[in-house]
Amino acid sequence: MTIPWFSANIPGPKQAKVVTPSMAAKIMGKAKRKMMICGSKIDGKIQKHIVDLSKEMSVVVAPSTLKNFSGAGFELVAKGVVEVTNLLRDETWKGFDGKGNYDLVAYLGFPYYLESQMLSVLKHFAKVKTLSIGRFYQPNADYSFDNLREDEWEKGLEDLVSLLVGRK
Amino acid sequence: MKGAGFKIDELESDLIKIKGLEVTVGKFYEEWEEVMGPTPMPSVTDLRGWDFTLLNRYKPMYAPFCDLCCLCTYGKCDLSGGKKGACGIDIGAQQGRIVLLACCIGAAAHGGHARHMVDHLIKKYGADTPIDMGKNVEVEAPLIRLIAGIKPKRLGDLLEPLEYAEKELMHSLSATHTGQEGYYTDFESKALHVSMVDQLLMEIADVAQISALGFSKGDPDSPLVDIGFGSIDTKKPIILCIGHNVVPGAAVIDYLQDHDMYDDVEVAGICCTAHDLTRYDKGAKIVGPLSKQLKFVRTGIADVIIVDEQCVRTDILSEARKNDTAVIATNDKICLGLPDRTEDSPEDVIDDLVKGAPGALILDAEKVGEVAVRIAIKLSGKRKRRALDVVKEAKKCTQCGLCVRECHNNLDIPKGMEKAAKGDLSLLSEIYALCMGCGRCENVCSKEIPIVSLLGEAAKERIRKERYKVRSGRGPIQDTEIRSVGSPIVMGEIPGVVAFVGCPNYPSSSKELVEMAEIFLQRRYIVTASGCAAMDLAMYKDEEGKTLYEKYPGNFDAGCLSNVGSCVSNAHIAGAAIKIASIFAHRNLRGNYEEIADYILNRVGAVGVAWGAMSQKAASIATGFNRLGIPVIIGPRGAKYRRTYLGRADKSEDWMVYNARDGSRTQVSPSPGYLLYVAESKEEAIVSIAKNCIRPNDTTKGRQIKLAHYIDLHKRYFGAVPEDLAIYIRTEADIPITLKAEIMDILKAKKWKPKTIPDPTLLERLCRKKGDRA
Repeated sequence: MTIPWFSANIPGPKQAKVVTPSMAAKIMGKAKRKMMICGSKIDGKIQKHIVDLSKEMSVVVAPSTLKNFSGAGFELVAKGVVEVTNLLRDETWKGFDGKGNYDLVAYLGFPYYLESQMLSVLKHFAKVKTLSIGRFYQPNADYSFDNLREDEWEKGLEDLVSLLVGRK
Repeated sequence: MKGAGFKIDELESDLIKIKGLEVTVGKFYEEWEEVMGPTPMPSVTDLRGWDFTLLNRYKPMYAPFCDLCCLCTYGKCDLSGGKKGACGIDIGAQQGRIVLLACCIGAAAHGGHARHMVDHLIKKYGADTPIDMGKNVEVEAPLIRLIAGIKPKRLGDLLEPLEYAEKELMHSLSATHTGQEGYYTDFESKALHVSMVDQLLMEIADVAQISALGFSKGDPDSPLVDIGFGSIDTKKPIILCIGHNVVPGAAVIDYLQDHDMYDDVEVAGICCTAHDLTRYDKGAKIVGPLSKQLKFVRTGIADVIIVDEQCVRTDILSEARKNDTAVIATNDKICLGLPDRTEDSPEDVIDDLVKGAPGALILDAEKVGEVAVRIAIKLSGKRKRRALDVVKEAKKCTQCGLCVRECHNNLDIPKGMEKAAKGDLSLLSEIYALCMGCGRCENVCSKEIPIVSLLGEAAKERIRKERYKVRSGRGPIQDTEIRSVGSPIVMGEIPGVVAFVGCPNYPSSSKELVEMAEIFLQRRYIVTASGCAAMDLAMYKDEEGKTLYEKYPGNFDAGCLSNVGSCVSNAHIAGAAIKIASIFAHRNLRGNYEEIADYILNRVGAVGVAWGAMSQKAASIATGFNRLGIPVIIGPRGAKYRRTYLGRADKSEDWMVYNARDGSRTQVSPSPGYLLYVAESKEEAIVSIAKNCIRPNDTTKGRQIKLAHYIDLHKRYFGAVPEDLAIYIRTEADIPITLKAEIMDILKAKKWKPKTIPDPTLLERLCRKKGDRA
């Protein structure tokens, strides 16, 4: 069993399944209504992956990073993660595009503990499946990357994008 | 209420000898012409209707720490996936229960403090000691008036609201027992209730100490006092007080002054007891907030550590032993396994401590004062401070990285060690400035490197320069100040009141707090502060070498920064909001909680910011403000409180109010949008603060001003006009004049239509004329 990045962050018997980038790409590929929620810890390297992934799914970014995405060429929503997570637990919510709630959300670029808590909200109070593609294992997600070295993680994101979007 | 009593100073006869007898029958309260409201000393359920009104709009969002319940022997019960526990509880109710438990703990901490304070002060100064909050403070205890429905005139009058609070706390806590409350909204209602009681308890404690101990009585020009490691004179014997109850520390100062030794011994404090030491005497020093505790204790500078109650490291004894610092425990909350020396002679206690006893429990403040001073003088200069070879220690590091995983802020300690091993201490020094001082990194270090000590050693030069000025806690906001700002706040022309409160568990540098405060000071919001946050606001200087307290006046006014004092002084921030309703709007306070909270929610643009909230006390403080209609924004770590109160701006039905003019129903702008919100970043917090100062009652001029700030801050930090701008514009007159053309285009695109500006209330009974409520 993978030990959470914060070793004490063991929520209980139900913990995330560890997935590789290719498994994550399959999960994302199968989802019909997917969204990626990005936090404030986004640098240039990650940003390019978000831009690519926006071709496949809706993207919500932390308002503080909105400036960085100006001219990125895709429509995005800027909203705090707490607010977005709150919307996701409402089955009747129409989504940001008016087409209904989502069946898969991926989290990326958050302080570890904040992401953990938001995933816990959805684990217990929503039907949406969750996938964490940050650098560290998040037990409250349905699926999560393992704890990775920085270079492993960067390559993992590259692989995920290329498998899902076809960029090389 | 009336009573009778008599006092006999001294009586001697053949049969009896009496000295200092005081008998009181009944209660003495001044006749008070204000009509009693509907809920004096409300029970757990008396304000349930108000709570449910709030909870209907601001629904709790739970983020469980744990899928399990481990509170009884039925368990552990797994509550994940919709499963119920053996008692029948589900995960939602369990979270409500945990929240209630946290709020009870917080309220109990303030309640224990208040009880100790009131009992001690009555014993020392007498129950007839007048409640005196200063010449410009006629509404001396707004929370006591509002919640308990009484107007206290003397210390003894504080006992009744105190007993009421203790009873409510007991009932609230009892609801967390297995097989009691079972539904999340009722757990939340009880959490709101006990947190309201918490505010009452804080006021009781601070009113008592202000009245009896001669603290500042609402003085905006309370003295600027020293704060920071560098302000401590290490040549003198040093007594360090940690905690929240100033009584033993005050006794130290009394002893020193009585023996003409105050210039010979340094008295310093950490956490709120430090605030209160400077309120007692401006010569005391503040080391800093809670985050400085382990760091300072590790330096071994203190000769004696006095601990009272709350926020004291539970390993303080073993930490103090590392430098042979003596520890004196002074309160029944924190006995540390030490022998009770209360009845022993000071000489015997001092003798044992000098011989190396680790500490003593002394439950007599005056004796603590004497023992602490005498032992500090004896130990000073005799203790050997352990030398630390940073380079040698750093070389032990294996770069395993476990310390980073345990660190709150994932600070790159291994990198710092790598550099330090080569003689470069700069990174360790930088890490020191960001470190919250919890020491968890050391627990996981397989090489047992004393990381916190190394950081301190590496940052020696930085520490030496930590010397700042903070304005000593002023206590209450004067009635005259409220008369001056009441109208512009309610009309919206002062854009808001922002209160920086709470603990130092920040997501990054404490400098973020200073930056946030200064933004709102420069924009002429009223900024106020308390507790550890008030200390951290002092711990940065500008290019001219000035702290915020030296740059901005201490009034409760636009563009001013007032430090009300310690944790219990938070009551004065709530009190200011209540006084606006009372003094400016002439609403009755007496036992009239619901109406006043409704007034504040709809009219008073106040926001609390607890950027580093950590404790259960912070949970109850925030929840108490929430019941009073004041939203609180917490930092990202606040997500670990497991519950937020969030409104849904997209649900128009949630934002319906009564128009008190005719009883009709109308929709208002969704603000405050949240009662308790977690902001991920400083930038998100800043914009949220500005947005959540908007109130339904704003005049068009006031709304213009508030929107101008919201739009400007949104553009500055997010690079765009807010997407949700249209929902805050009721009529064209709300639009900031300089932005009119730009905003009108946006409104046209959104097919915006003007809305009614009501006299807003959530309470139907306050409507003057009932109309159609379809």
